[in-house]
Amino acid sequence: MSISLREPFTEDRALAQQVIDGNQSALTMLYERYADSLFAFIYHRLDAPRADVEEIWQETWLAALRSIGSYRGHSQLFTWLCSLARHKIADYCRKRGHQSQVFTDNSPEIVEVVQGNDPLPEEILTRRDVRSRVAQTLMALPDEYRLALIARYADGYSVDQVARLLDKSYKAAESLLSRAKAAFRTAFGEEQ
Amino acid sequence: VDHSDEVLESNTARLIQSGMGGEARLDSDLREALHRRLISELHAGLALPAFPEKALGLLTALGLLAVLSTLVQFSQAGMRAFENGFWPMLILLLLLNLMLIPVASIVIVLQRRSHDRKS
Repeated sequence: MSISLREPFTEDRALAQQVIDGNQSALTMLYERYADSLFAFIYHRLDAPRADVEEIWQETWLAALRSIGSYRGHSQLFTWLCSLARHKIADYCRKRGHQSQVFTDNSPEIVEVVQGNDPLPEEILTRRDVRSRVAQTLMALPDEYRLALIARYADGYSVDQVARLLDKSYKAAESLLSRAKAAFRTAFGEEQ
Repeated sequence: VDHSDEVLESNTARLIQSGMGGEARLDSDLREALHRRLISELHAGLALPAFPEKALGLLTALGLLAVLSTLVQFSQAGMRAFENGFWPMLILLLLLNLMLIPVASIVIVLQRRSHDRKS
């Protein structure tokens, strides 16, 4: 199966239209695709108690369902969801009189370091903007790439376990992981 | 496996752990609960269709045509004040446009009802 890094937005628009039409499977697909990464995105962007992060994550999804008719397919769905999340975070900060976290979303120096061939310095990995960017980048990837990368590197699955999770042979899973890593590095530097 | 592959493997692992590991992971009960709630909201018709921009645009265009044709009729009927007076003409335009708001609202309500019936 060939997987393009960026699917046409018309597919995202079609998925959104199915949700508007009341299609439960479409909503589940949308949710399964982005629920975890969107939570991580909000978690890293907001320096707040976990309960508040969970609240904002839930509000973002409810707002997404309420306003999905306004999604026109001009950007990818995950970009639209991240934009809703940013608004919710800004509202939260305004209500509590906090300074809203301002992130330079695509600092060229960070992208250069991440895409380079040297081991990453620890201070890069502790930066909230980098962590938030990782979550956003994972949302930009095709489903199989995202699932494979999270299973392998966040959940600590072996290649064999990833193969079983995705119902693939060991070799196919190895190859998929290799392509997923390359796609992740490329997508990290792209405008999202 | 050469050195650059090892570095790439390690960098990717560390990046993804930093972004998706530990506290950034979603609680599975909360995940399930929101999924159920969204499904229930979907059935309750929370997902609204797009704002009917085209329909409203058409209505506005029709309104403007109505205004223009009214002015022409007034003019032909000899009501010269509407030709020469700026303010009466502006008030007339505003009033006629305001009259379109209830019409637009009815269109929106009908569209929402039709959507509710579908879902």
